[in-house]
Amino acid sequence: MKKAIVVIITVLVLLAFGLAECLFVKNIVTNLDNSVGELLGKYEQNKDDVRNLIVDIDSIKENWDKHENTLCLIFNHKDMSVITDGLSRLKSYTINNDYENGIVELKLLKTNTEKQPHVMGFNIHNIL
Amino acid sequence: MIYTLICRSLIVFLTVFLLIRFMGKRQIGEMQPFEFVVTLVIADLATIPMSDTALPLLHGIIPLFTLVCLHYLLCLLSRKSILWRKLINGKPIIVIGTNGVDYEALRRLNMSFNDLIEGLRTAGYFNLEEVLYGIIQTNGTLTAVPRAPYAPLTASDMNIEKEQATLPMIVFAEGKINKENIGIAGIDSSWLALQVKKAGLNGLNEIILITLSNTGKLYIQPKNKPFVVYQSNYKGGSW
Repeated sequence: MKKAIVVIITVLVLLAFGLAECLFVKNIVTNLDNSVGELLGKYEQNKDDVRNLIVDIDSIKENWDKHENTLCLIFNHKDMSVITDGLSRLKSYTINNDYENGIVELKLLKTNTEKQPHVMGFNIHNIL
Repeated sequence: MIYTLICRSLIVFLTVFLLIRFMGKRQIGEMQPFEFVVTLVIADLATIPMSDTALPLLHGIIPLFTLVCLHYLLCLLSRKSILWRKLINGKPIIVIGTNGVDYEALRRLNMSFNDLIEGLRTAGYFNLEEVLYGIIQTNGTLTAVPRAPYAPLTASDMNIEKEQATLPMIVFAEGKINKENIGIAGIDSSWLALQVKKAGLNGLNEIILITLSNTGKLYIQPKNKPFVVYQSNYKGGSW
């Protein structure tokens, strides 16, 4: 009986953990994707001088860094570093007003943030 | 990184150890097919996040807990339902019957005659004619029932009265009294010390092991002397 209770509690904890993870990840990644989308629009409007967008990039980076440690408990660190490195490179290009490289990096980042919910989420492709 | 690996190894080891203990002793000895699969997968799962620090430890631990829950469910099903037991564990198959070796049964089990004879030797029989029934159990072991002329003689065959087997309990080991066991036996340390003196030894300080059987027989092993068996007047052995 004791074992049955332990197993039931374990199953409930696993299910609750899975649900919390789904909601948490969806929230963070969706926010990041929206922010990157907005930044992409602004970037294309400010082709001549992208340096004034550094505040937006810092804000996105700060928000990502804040959640990165928690996400590291759940996800492969290599998947996480793709976004972290992308944001760092984007910041560097923006400081140097390098629109060409900046927009490429931003588009890559957008692709990555778009596919993250799929990579990290619960779906048939990941199961199989 | 080294500290990380050490901590991860400790966590994974303790988790796997606790889970294997939770699954029960049967897991280590006689395994059913599904238990064998669970054990193999657990061993593999545990080692991946232990060495790959890019993977969160949870990637190893969550599947472990999932497998243990699954193992419990399968054990429960095989305990409660005959149909599930057959599905999960299979059923024992008679490979040697009254007419001799059942070749069809051997073929279904993917066993050769060599495997069968090897199994019989392990069971203590060296000739096929000695065995009346040979059964392959669900965990893969061969159990043999000998024909009457080859069955070992027992005391009841000879109408001999034998002393009942006893179950000895460690009451003193390596300088320490086992409080739990002397509690079960209903004795105390002074009684034990007195028995040691009665057995011709100086005292508990020169003893490394004492066991007490439920008929009151004491096996006393001194540190540097031969063992002594002493029959005490103990009468309370009902464990």
